[in-house]
Formats: sequence, structure tokens, C-alpha cells
Amino acid sequence: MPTTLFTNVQILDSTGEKPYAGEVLVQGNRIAEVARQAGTISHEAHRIVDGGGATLMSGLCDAHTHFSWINQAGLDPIGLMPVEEHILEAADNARTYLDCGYTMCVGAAAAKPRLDVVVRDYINKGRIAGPRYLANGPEIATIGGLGDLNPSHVGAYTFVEVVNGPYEMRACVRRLLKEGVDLIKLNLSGEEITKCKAEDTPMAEDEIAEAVREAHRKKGVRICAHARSAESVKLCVKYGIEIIYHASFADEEALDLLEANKDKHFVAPGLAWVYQTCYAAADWGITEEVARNMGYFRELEAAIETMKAMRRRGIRVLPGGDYGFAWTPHGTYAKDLEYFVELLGFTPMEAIQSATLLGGEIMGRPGELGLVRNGYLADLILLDGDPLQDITLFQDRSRILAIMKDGSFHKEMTPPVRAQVSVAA
Amino acid sequence: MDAPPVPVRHILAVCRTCHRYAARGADEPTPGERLADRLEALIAGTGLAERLTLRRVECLSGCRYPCNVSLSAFGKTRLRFNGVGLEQAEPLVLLARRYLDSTRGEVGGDAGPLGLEARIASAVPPPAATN
Repeated sequence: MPTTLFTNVQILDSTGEKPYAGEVLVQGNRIAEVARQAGTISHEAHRIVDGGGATLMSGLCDAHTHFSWINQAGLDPIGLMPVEEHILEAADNARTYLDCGYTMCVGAAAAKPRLDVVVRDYINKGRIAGPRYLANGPEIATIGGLGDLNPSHVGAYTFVEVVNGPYEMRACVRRLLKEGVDLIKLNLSGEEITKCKAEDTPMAEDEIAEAVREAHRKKGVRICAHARSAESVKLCVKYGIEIIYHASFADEEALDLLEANKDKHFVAPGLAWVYQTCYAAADWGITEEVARNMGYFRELEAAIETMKAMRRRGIRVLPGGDYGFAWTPHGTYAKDLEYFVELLGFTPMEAIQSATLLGGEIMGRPGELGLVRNGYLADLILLDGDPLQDITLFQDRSRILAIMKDGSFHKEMTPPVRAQVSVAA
Repeated sequence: MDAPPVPVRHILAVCRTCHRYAARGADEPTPGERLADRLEALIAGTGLAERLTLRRVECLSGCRYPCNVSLSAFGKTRLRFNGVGLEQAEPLVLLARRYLDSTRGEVGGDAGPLGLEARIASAVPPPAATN
């Protein structure tokens, strides 16, 4: 079994402990040993990586990904793009995630039914590069809900599945399960940039109940929801929707419910979309004034306060989303960690734990992913610097010296810099 | 606002993918990378090097007006500049010094004499203080 020994590294294991000098042995696809003293682990490894004091830690998790979003300025393009081009774009974006140190990704929706599933499967076969991935299907919306862009006089082209009533919901969920998705996405609330607003909750309870019932009939499948409004967050708790996206306008009652059920839910606010729409979308016609009139400044303020409250209450909040729009382009994912520290008041350690330790939990593999610990899967990144001192470090790809997924290097250190790689004879 | 980390880290972020839409050879550095190299060379070996971190980031959302650079620090206004070329590198470094010495990033008035005022694409205030 091939082995790799990382030596001369600062181990940031995501338990909350400060980084410590040590060595890590990877055997096959797992971490075989973590040592606090150099020389404790035999150096008779197949490959020795001298980290030169760099930080070794778990790969990162993005809890709300859209491989099939193509850095577009609106929503029409992802509905209109032909599937042949679209699968290549999605595959390229999957690789970009891994290039940025993200070894875990939770699909928050795909623009076409099979895009995510095919990319996931080809990653798992080793045919294309990408993170461990939970594939999703298109968002499911009601008539007039978020994503229903179809003009009444034109045939359907939109990127979501539009359903009406529990019967159609059941059929839709079954179609997506047939394709092999890991997650089902429901648009419970709207979005300020559309006609269906953030605090609207157009999906009916019998439709939600049917979706949850049908999805949970298949082992391992979970539900996630676009849920900005307070009402939609409460519906998520009521119906056991595990992953709650946004939750910007969660009120005290919603927070109480989440706190009482904190072990059952994950929240990913997707702050990048709201923040960048406020401040970085002027080149696409959304000036600060336009964003303010749309309601995004109000939502940003609400989202910040809501997430601060969730942090205080111990509710699991994870970074990620909505990257893949023109003003939240692919490759800038690690901005979220900066937002968590700068906007939400997380410490750098808490932000990192949200992206690693909690990443393993949301991926459904809490004992295998997200920590640097014996027995865990070897999804590791080597950073030139200490992210606890500078959370922006992750945004500079040149500072990610090595990326390992499942015990194999996706990116290897290029000597000499401060380290060297040697291969045992 | 929550207490800033000590010491306050100042970041000069340079978009490495500018110009995103221009054709170039496979191994040819982008204009953004060249700009980052130039800024890095101007900062190295000066007193600024210990106080200012240069970050080569993927994108600063100013693709239509390359190249893009931003100055930021916890508790200060985040400034983004677009249309930045190599000839703006030295004025940017001068402005960065003033930014470091400012209380909350209030250097807009200094940008004009340095020829940078017209290139300020956005000025994002720091998050409001918590109650």
C-alpha cells in the first residue's frame, strides 16, 4: 500500500487545538498516524514531503455549490445552455473547486437533471478531477415560485422543475431519484432579484410533505431548501429538511426551533451572493442603489444578525454559496471564510472548523472527513502560512502548496521553495 | 464591531485572472499576474512589506475593466480599483502607505493627486458595530 509521510509541518487538525509541529503518515487513502514529535514515525515511506513548516490541514467544504452555474449574470443562461457544453463547464468548475483546496462539496442544485450526477460519477471513477460531491438535481419550485422563468406563451426552458401539487411533486422527486441524486432541493421561499420575493413562501405544506416523504424513501437521500423567509425556516424544521440555505430572515421562533433541533440541521447562509450583489455587481447593472431598492442591503443586514445569533446558539453554520454567478465567480470560494470572520464575528478557528469539521458532518461522514486524525480519509491541503493569522490565505492559490484527496495528490509541491519531495527507492 | 485581530492585517489583493476575456498564450502570464509581480517588487524590502500582504486572488468582480486591485483591512473601508495598469503600480503603493496609516481607510482625497481617483470602482464601508 503506498504511503506518504508529511514531515516538518504545522498540523491544524480542526479539533480546536492550536496548530502543533508534527508529522502525518498517510497509508493508502487514510491517515495512518499523526505524531507530535519528529522521528516518531518511520521515514521508510514511499514518498516524503518536507512541508518546511507549512500548515497541514483537512481539505475544505463548500456547503452550497453549483457546478453548473457558469459565471452568468442572470438565470436564463443556465436554462438555455445546451447540455453538451454544459457538462463540460460543470466538469471544469468541479476541478476548480479542487484546485482551490475544496475536497468536499454539497450540491445545492444543478441546472439540468443529470449534470451533477454525471460529474459526481466521473469524479468517483477517477475520470475527471473534482471534490467528493453530493449531487443534486434541479431546484423544485411551484408555479410562480423562485426559478419559474417560463413566460406563459413560451415552452419551458427554465433551469428548475416547476410542479403544482403533491402529485406532481411526487413524480418529480421520483424522476430525480431515478437519475441518482443524493439531494433534493426545494425552493421554499423566493429571491429579491426575482418576482417571487425573499420573504414569500409559495410552496404549500402538502407539497413539502410529499417531497420529504418520497425522498426519504430512498436510503441516504436528504433534502435541502432555499429558505430565506422565517416561515420557510420553520417549515424546514417541521418537515425535517436537513440542510437549510440562507435563512436570512429567521425570526426568534425560527431560531428557537433550530436551536432545539440543532443536531438535525445545517445552515449555510450563502453570504457571498447577498454581499456581492450589494457591493460588486455594478458592472452588470446592479449598482448599490439598485441593490438597495431590490432589498439586498436590508437582507444583508438581517442575514448577518441572524447568523451571529445562530453562532451564539450553537446552530451549525457552514460557509459556501452562491458561487458561479458573474459577481461571485468560480474560484473565489474562500471569500466565505473571510466573510465569516469579518461579517459574522467567527474566530478564524471557528471559520475553519465550519469548513472542515462541520464539512465532514454535512457530507454524512463525521468520523471520516474533516479532521486530521488517525483513521480519517486523507483529504489534506498544505498551506504556505498560518490561516489562523490570516484567513484570506486560502484565496491565493499559489499559497496552497499541495492538495491530496483520498490519499492521492491532486497538486504536488514543486520544490525547492521551502520544501522538498523525495521518493523512497 | 467585534474586536479586530491584533495586529490588523492589511491586504492588497490583485486579480490574477484579469484580463479574463483577452486571448493569450498558454504559459503567458496574465496582465493581472504581471501587475502583481510589479507590486510585489515595489513592496519587497521596504517597511511596507511587514505591514501589507499581497494576495493574488481569482477575481475581484471587475472583469469588464481590468486590471483590478483592492485594499482592505478589518475595520476599514474596502477600496477596489479598476482599469489598473503597470503605470499605476507606484501610485498604488504610495496610496497603500496612506491607507495603512489611516484610521478607517479614508484615503479618497489622496487618490486624486495620485491619478487613482477615477479608478476607484467601489468603496465598501466596514461592517457596522454590533450592539
